[in-house]
Amino acid sequence: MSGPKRRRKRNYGTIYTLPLVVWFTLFFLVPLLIIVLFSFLAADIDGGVLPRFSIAAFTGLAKPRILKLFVNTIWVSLASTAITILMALPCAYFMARSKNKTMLLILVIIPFWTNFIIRIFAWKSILEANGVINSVLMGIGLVASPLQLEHNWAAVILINVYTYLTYAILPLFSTIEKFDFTLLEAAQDLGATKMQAITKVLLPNVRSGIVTAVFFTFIPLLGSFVVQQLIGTKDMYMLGNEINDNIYKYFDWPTAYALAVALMMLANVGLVFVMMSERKQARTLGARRVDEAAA
Amino acid sequence: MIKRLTAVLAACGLAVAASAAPAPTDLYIYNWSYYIPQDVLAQFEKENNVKIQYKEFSSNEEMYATIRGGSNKYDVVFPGDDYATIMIRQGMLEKLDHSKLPNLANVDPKISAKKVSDPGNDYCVPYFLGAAGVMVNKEKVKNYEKSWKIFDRADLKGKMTLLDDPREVIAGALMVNGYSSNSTDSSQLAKAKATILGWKKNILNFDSDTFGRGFATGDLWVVHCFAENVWLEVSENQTDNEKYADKYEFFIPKEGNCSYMDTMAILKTAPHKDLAYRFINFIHDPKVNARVADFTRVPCVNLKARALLTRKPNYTLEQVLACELKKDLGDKRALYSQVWKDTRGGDE
Repeated sequence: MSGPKRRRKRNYGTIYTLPLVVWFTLFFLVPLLIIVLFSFLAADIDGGVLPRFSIAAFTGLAKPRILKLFVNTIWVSLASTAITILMALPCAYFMARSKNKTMLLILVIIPFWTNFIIRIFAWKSILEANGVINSVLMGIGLVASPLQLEHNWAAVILINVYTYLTYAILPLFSTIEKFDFTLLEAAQDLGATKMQAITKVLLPNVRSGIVTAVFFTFIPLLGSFVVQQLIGTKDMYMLGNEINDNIYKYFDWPTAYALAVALMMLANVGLVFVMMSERKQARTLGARRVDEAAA
Repeated sequence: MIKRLTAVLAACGLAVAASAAPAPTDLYIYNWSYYIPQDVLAQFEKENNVKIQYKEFSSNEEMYATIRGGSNKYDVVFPGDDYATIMIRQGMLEKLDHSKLPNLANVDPKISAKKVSDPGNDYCVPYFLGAAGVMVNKEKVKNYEKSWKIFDRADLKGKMTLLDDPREVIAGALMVNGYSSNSTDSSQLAKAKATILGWKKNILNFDSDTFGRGFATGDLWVVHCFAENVWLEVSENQTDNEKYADKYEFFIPKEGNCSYMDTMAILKTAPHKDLAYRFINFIHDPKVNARVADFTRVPCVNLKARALLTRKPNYTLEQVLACELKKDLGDKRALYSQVWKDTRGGDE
């Protein structure tokens, strides 16, 4: 029985990716697990947790005050996200069609070379009473006394948009760049207006980019606290601030972790919802094609 | 399982720490921002041939969370007395060998006696004793009483801030009602809560970060603050505060306030304990301490340094000695947290 020896090709894929798997498990999964684990433990009075199971952190969240914080946080994050996406879309489109893509990309990324807090303070010096805008307006005699430009929701949303614009532009740019622009011409040849070509041909085709951009903006915004702390007022207190105060002021780590878990769940519900609607759309699209083929 | 996991994680941490071990001539100091003149640090570096790695924190909470979170590279920390109490309880601080700190004899015994954490200076040494208060722009606010009640004034609505600090704000609200600033009586705290809710109507924000700037630009007229934070914004490095005396006034409210004592301590995990001792001793050298007090303009805690001062502090030693030192609340902290949640963290 001497058959030709079969040389089995071994698949080394698993071994090659092992370092990455270990890396992600250690630095991504473990912290996540710690967050979930700590949220189910009892608080130690000086911060930290006691090794005792407790759901006090979660039952403590069932309060009208916390519900209000959730509502507040969601609407500010949604408003900021909507404006960010509306601004990022034309930017990304322009960048994708430009001849100087690399240069434009660098320009978009440049603000990120500066510390986040410094950038907020830069905005402060634009908006404050003797800031850039008020100085100009008063200099040309348009207003007599400085306008109150900071310490309101508009200022908070403005800086949120400024902060997350790059996070939205980048995924949009990378999907729009792959889009076949001749399709727009084809649509117009077939009688679509310029606007219709964009809304009915371009936007559905870059949907995945939009979804990514929404998540890159909306999810971090849910937990943000610095902008409203530095630019806002006493009424602009959101979930991020509550988490921060639970760690630094109340020494109640489990509640902080429970809030983080609640936020994660919220973000995940959104993610699942979007994924399901995407699958549904793909299915109807597929069905329509079958129908058309049959006809 | 969890134990094994923590052991593995700790081992990883150790490996990282070992690979990043500093040269033997480094001293790691963890201190408040704006707390020490640069030339004092430079002198210590020169005299001892060390490089000081200086990191700043802006609140006790931040410092404590960092050390508690496992950071073990620091040698000297500057906890407030209330946090020193916690850190002693947690066994984080090294018991001090007084024979290595001869200059400890220069520290005003009245100051040491005020310490709650450790009046015998066994774990930490006074750095300074200070109190928050209220700074007023006299050009904008002509008539005012030096009282916590200034925050009740609806005519100053939107022009005032309170610190974003539960202990400081609740202390004021307790004292204006005639109670101790360390009270843990729930009916007294309920009164304090009502007072804060009244103040909240008139203030722009609870702010510990940007009020100095807002005050300097004229946006804010009355700010609850640590004097040095605001003076640093309105004057030239606090060297010419007197020049602005017609324009600004800092006062500690007549009803009283809580005070805080910042201390110097050596961490148990400190890699350079000998240098740390030398540093603490150096700070209480009278000549050096006078420079520190002239820079911070907080009442000087060093008896021999007082004769060498060239500037007046922002408020007097008597004023700050009259205030009640903040005590660690221990398991009663939750009462204060609840007041803060119902005032700062909600919309009434």
